[in-house]
Parts: sequence; C-alpha cells; structure tokens
Amino acid sequence: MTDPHEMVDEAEVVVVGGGPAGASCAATLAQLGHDVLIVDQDEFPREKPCGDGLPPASVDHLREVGLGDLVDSHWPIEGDRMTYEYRHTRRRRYSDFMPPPATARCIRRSELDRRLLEHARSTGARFVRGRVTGLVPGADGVFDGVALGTGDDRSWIRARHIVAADGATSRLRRECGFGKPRAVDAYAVRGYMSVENELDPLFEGYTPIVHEGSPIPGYGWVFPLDEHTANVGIGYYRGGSLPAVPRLSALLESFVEELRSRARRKFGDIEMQGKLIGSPVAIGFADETCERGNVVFAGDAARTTDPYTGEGIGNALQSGRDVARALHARSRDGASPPLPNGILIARRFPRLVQDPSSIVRIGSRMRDDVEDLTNTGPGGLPPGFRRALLTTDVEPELRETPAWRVLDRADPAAADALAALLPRWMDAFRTTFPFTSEMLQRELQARSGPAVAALALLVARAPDGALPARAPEAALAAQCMELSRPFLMNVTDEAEGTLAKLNNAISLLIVDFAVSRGWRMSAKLGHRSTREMGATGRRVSEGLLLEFEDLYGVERTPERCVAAARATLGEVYALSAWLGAETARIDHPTRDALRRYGSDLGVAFQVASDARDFFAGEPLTGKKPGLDLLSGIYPLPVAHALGANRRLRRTLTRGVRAADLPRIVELVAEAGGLDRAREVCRAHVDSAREALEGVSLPEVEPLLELAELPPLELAALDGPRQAAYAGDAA
Amino acid sequence: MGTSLGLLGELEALHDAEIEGVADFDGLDGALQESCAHLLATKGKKLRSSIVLETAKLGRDADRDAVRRAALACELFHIGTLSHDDVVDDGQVRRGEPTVVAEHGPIMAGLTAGWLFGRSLELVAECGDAAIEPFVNAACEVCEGEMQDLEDFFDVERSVERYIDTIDKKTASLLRLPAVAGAVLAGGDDRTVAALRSYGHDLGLAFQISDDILDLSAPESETGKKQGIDLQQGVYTLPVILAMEQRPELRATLSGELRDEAIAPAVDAIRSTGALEESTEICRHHIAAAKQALEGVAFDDETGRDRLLAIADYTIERVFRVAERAA
Repeated sequence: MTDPHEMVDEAEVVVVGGGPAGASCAATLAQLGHDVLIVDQDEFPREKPCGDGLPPASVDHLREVGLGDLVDSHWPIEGDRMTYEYRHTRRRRYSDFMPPPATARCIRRSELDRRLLEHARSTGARFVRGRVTGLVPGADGVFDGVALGTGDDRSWIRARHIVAADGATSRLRRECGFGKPRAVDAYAVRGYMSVENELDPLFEGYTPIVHEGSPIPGYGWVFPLDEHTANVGIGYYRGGSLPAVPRLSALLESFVEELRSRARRKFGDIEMQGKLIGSPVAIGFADETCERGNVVFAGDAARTTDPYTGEGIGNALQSGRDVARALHARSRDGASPPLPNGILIARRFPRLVQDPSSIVRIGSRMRDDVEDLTNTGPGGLPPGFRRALLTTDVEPELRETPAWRVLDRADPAAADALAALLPRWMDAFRTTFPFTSEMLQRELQARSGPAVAALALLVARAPDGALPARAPEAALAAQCMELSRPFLMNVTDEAEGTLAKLNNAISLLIVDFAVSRGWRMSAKLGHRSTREMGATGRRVSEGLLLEFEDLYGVERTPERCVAAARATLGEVYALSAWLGAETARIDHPTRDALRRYGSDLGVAFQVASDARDFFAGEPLTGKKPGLDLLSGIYPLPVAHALGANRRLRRTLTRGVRAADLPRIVELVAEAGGLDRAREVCRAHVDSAREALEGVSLPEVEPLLELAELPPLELAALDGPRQAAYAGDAA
Repeated sequence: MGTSLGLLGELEALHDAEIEGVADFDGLDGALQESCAHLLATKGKKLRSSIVLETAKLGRDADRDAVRRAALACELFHIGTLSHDDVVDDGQVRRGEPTVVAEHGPIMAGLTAGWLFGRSLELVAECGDAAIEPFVNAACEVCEGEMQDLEDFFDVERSVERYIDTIDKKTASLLRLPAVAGAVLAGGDDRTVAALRSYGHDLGLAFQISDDILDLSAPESETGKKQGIDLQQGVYTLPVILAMEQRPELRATLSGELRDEAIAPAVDAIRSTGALEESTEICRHHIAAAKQALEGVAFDDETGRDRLLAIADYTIERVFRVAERAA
C-alpha cells in the first residue's frame, strides 16, 4: 500500500460525486445488489449552475425510480421554442414527435439532486461527505481507492471500482491524465427571475446573444418553473478566435436587459431573484474511452453533455445507469471487455440510444447544402441564427495549419477561397450531424490541415499561376473523400447490442452523406473527373480492407503498412492531384507524374501521422500513446518492431492491457520503430519530389514545399515520450 | 396477368447475359469479390438494370455499351444501398438468404457498399456526361431518405405526407434513375425523358407501398423475412399510418417495444381497419399513373414498352396474389 494514512471506509464501488450521474449510477448498482458508497464534498441540498430543464425522457426516468411526486408537483412543459433575433420563432411540441403524454419539467437542481440522492440512499447506497483529492495507486495500473483530504487530514477509501461522477471540472479526469481537449470552451450562467405576465409552458431559447453589438455563439434561455418564475441563463462558447466576452454575470445581465426591452410585451416587468452562478459546460471530447484502469467516468466527467444544446441532466442520468449496468455485467461475467474505440459516438451520447432520431432531427430542419457554392443563404434561416448556433468557428484554426500556409504563400487568393469554402462545407456536416463537430475539427488539424484540398488547388494553378474556375469543386470533392474515411473506420464488428448497432448505422449514414456530397462536387467537373472519383472510392475500399485484414496481425510488415497507406490515403492524394490537373487541362504525361507525386505524398502523410499518434498520442483529444494497440491496429513502427523483437510478438499475441502501453511504446522505440518510420516517410517524400523532376510546370515550387510537411509532423517527437504518462506514474 | 411473370424470367436472363461482362469483379480482393458476388447472386428481379435496358429501346441508336454500363451502375448502386440498409436495420436475412452483415459483419458490409458505390459511379461516368447528374441526385436523395427514416423511427405521429416524401427519396429515386438514364442514353427529348421519369416515380412509390403491404400480408415463406418486422423496428409504413389514423388507440399499442408474441395481434388489428385495402388502392393508383405516363411515348422497339408495362403489372400482382390466397 502506497499511502500511509488511515483507511476510513471500504466499498465494492465508490461513486465520487452525488449529482444526477452519481446518484443514478449508485441507485442502479445498489438495486442490483452491489455495495456502493457515494462520496460528495457538499451537504445536500446545494445550488448548481444549471438550466434545470429535464426533457421528457428524463421525466420518465424520474417516474421510473419512484419520484413521480416530484414530477407532478412541477409545471408540465409542453415543448420548446427558439426565437431568432427577437423576430422569428420556431416552436416544437414534444407530443409532435413522441407519444403523449410527452412533457418536460423544470426542477431546481437543489431539489432534484437532493431527491435523487435520497432515492439512491433508500436503495441501499451509503453516503459520506468528503472531499476526494485523488486516486490511490495500486498494482498494474489499477487503483486501490480514492484519497480524501490533504496534509495531515489525508485518509482514503478502498474500492474495487471507482465511478468518477465529479462533474464538468472533474478532478479525477485530470488525475487520470485526460488533458484539456480543445481550444473552444463552453460556459453557462443562470439566475432566477419572476415575471409579471404569465409564461408559456415552453423551454424558450433566444439566439444569438448579442454583446456590444456583436453576436456571440450560443443561446439564452428562459425555462419556466411555474407561471411567473423562470430559470434564466445563457450558454455560450469562447476561445479560439471567438469574440472576447466580459464576466459571465455581465453577459447574463445584458441578456436580461434585452428581454426587458425587446420582449417587454411578452414578459412585462422582470425582477431577478437571488444570485447568479456559472460554470464551464462539459462539452470536451476525448475519443478513446470513458474509463481508465478501474475508474469509469459518468455524466459531465465523461463529457456526456450535448455539445450542441448544452443539455446535460438527461444524459447524465442515462450515463450513470449505463455505467452501473456495465459494471454489473462485468462483475457477473467475470470478464472485463474493453469498451471498443469504435462505438464512441453512441457511447458518448447515450441520449441517442433513447431517442435515435434526435441526432438528425435538428439537421433535417436546418439542412443546408453545398450543392451550389455561390448560394450564400443558409436555407432561409436568419443569418444570426446560423452564426450563433455553430459551436466552433474553424476558420482561424484552418489558417493556422501548415498546409493552408503553404497555399497562402503560393496564392493568397486561393488560400482565402479555401478558408471561406471549407468551413461552410463543414457546417453542412455539423448542421446535419451536430455531434460530428469536434471530430471534424480534429480531422481538420490532423495531417497538417486540409492538405488534400490544398494539393488540388496548388496543382490547378501550377501551369500559369491562375486558379481555374472549377478548382474549388475539385478541392472539396477530394476532401470529401478524405473526410468519409474516419467515419467509416468507426464501424465496428466487435460489440453487440443497441449501442454498437446504432454506432454503425450513424457512422454509415455520415459516410453516405460525405460520399454523396463529394459526388455532387465531382459531377460539376464532368465525366472524366467523376469516373476518377468513382474509381478512387472503389480502390480506397479495397485499401481499407487491407487494413482490416491486418487487425491483430502480428505478422504485419512495414511493407504491408506502406501498401495499405498507398491504397488509402495515397489514392486520395493521387485523386486530388488528378482532379486539380483536370481542371487546369494539364497534359497526361504530366498528370501521371502528379499522380505519382500525390500517391507518395499520401503514404508519407499516413506513415508520419500514424507514428506521431503512436509515440506522442494526440494532444487535441488527450489520446494516449499506443492506444490503438488495444483495437489491434499495429502501425508501421510496431510492424517494424515485430520483425525485430520476439518478445513484442508474444506480448501482442497474449493481448494488451492499457497498463502495458507505456512499456510497449518504449519497446517499439528501442527496436528502432520511430527511426524506421522517419526513413520510410523521408523516402516517400523524396520519391514524391523526384516524380516532379522534369515536369514542365512553372509553379511547381509550392508542391515541393507541401511535400516537406509530413517529416515535420515527426520532428516534434524528439522530446521525452514519457511526459504523456507522467500523470499515471505519480 | 400470368404473362408478366414469364416476362420477368426473361428479363433476368437477358439482364445476366447483357451485363455479365461489365461487372469487372476480376482482380478484386477475395473477400470483397465474395461479398459482391453474394449480393448480386441473391435471387432478385434485377429490376433497376432491366428498366435501363428496356427504356433504352426508345431509340435504335442508343450506344449498347453505355446502356449496359448504366444498367449495371443502377443495379450495383442499389445493392450497395441494400448492404447499408442491412447495417442500419440490422437485417439478417434478405430474400431468404443471410445478408452480408450476417455473414461477414458490419465492417465488411460497409466496405462492400463503399466499393459498389465507387464502381457504380465509375460505370456511370464511363457513359459520358449524360447520366451523371440524375445518378448523383439519386445518391443524395437516397441519403436524405435514409436520414428521414431514422428520424421517424417509432414516431407514431408519422403522417402519410411524410411517409410519401421519405419513400420518394429513398425508393422512388432509385426507380426514376434507371428510367431517366435509359431515356437519356437513348437520345430521348425532354418530353420523353420527363414521361419516363414520371413512370419511374410512380412505379417506385407503388413498389415501396406494395413491399410495405406485403410485410403485413404475406407469410414469411413468400417475402423471406419475418412478418411485421418493420412494425417491431418502429418503421411505420403506409398501411400502419392509415390504420393509426383510423384507430388512434393503436398508437399506444405500437409505440415502444413490441414483443414477438405481440406482433401477430398488432398485424391483425391493422388489417381489421381496412388499411391494407386502402393502401392497395393507393398502390394501384400509382401503377395506373406509371402506365399512363408511357402513353404517347414512341418506342423504336415496342418490346421495351411491353416490358415496362409488365414490370408495372408485376408490382401490384404480387399484392393481389397474396390477397387472393388469403381469401
């Protein structure tokens, strides 16, 4: 035992945090016969910064757990209404898309959380008040329990399983080494108000929020508790290049001022009650798992809040229950199946399981297309609405990427065109599938940025420095092809059950969407380009098959890795070069050379980004080094090491546990895996450059510059690799 | 009425002879070849490719090679969507055979569909510019229809208009496409292309409606899938929507989880409202409209018209056959 202080309690499962996720998890576990202890630093009831809104599914949940009286003592909310710029409104009744009686409720969190905790205790879960300050490390990456207090007051609780339901600012999340995931954060602040006129029984949203004349992405809400009292608040996004905002409370105060002046007829006099409280909203994104060792995350600590609406209680209740059932299944079967990477979409948004249509419902109303690039109107919606609801503004990040900069140096006008088009195109995705927002952002920043699109534009302008009219379509067609791949890789064979099925269904729908939009772009370029697009789609499918055939294959060789890279990303870059060449009517011998260049460049990019992910993890998502090994994906450095090191082969054959990863990453490095990846990457960059020798294109220099990007992705890997794991060893 | 069935056998033989050489599965990786062949070999009517071949008889000078390619493209794209559908609905059996998902898993089903989509676009582009736009439009429509379907799962308030809009995108798009593609490749003028489009459209709606009727009226031996499976999966089709409109209390029965043993009584309740007959009437209306669309269209080879009419008859005959047997 590593901790000298006193063990004060012991339980099979300790649940850290007694909010909706923790309480629902504890109650479910206790009912299934487990010994559960909830630890929370607060005495209940206590205040929480929250909109207090419970969607119909959560109301059903409360009834199911016997809190029908709490539901019935609150005002039934019949639907929601969004008001755009104080002019247009859009109203939706729950009974329009769910069987009646479908009503929501607005219940103060102080009261709701107290009752949920009481319910958990009534099922047999125990509760202690205490401040959890960390995890108590044990053997093999498993934790012995949680630490309480600091200094001389330090003590600990022993537990076999730890459920971290400690909220948006989860301490255990940090303890487990999940980094801060993204540049853009969401915040919310709320207060209570009484109004003179009678409120409608609807969740009301107002967008955009305007501060000092400029719209801020997010929305303001008025959620009625009864006829004359409402929770009033705002949720908004900041960071990146989003507009700077003042104190949270000042923003809310100015929203209330707007209501007083612009919605005076509706509300009459408005009086604020009590104090305003605010906090970050847990919309972060970590795609690997919701667990680390024997710690499982639930609710905001697992980032289950809908990144689009900021709605969190319903998901928290559901995720608490899901986690409890998963733990119960494991204890019953004695097995400990890892949660596969692939089912991330469904697992991270449990609400989808209850109500699959919710993922596309918003989309179908707002569906905009990139069919016509000259059409700037977003399908009849007021412009402020669109601006305000988009959760992230990708353009500034786009302009930070190395690929965009190469383009910008060569042709500022083309670079500006891309910076204008690509975000709009991504918006089409995000408005149709809101939850893809963060994945898209990650894709944007992977592999030096939109290098595929940049390549088409650079090739298209190579003959005379001018950009042909159809070049943007060529760039987007190729980028569509590239974007469909990660979603296709999300399909999984490994899991059974609703989550896996739903995950697969949604992933394929997104792929269809990307593919059909890509086709629409290529169709504008004529039959030769369209044929090339089709042939590439076919070949990439064949290439992906190579990848899947090699899953868990300890016989995989570096040559197989290169072949797979050539057949997938190599094909996409070759396509991009070809489409660019077609729009510029470049002759066929030169076009063939450009294809070869693209193919080699694609291989170099794939090898570089795989090696980077393997050795350094992915900072944007907090993905740890070597994590793909758990899913049987063995990138080139591993394939190299497998040939050189029998021990590694035995380790992988036996099966890898998360705790083994740091050791394996080190082993692969010692066997020369990183050096091999560098060599292969360099060789393909050189080969790409050679392909361009002797071609008679005046503007070939930027293409040579683009080819130097893959090695740069590996350049940063010289530092100490252990840093990423430092948190675990402590 | 029996003649149309004979015609269909003929169509299938013709179809195989015509397009076999174009499929180009050679050189394909073993696993993909297997699942593509699996899909193509499934006993089906090869309806979409047949429509291209027959519609192309409008003009004597149609480029046979281009017509064959377009025919195969329509068929491959269609079976690609089936492979996707099976992942989305977790379909284990189709036309009495295990699906690609059941045999090879979701990843393989996704990759097979990807390959088929790619190949079909390639084939259509090989016919020149003419058929690309209708093809790409159909692909986008199908995708939108799939999303609408998913949105409407378990929506007991689904309206007839919404249902028609969804099957228009999801199913009728893939029957308009071959009719338009064939007409365009045969050099049909705008009026002719519009007429064929209208034929494909009404045929497509009727086709889906008849499928949805059969889901509730035909025994498993006939359709190759469990009766009322759509109902259990929360897919409310025309007969179900009509029945719910007439007897709102059905909504409560149908929403939520429907146990296996509850399916038969639910199907009986729907039948008892007369919704199947009403749906059959709507189906018949669309068949009549499809056939009417061909009036006044001049075919260089009249067997084209005959077969397109036979395809329309066949679509509704299968509904009548089942109804007769039941009576």
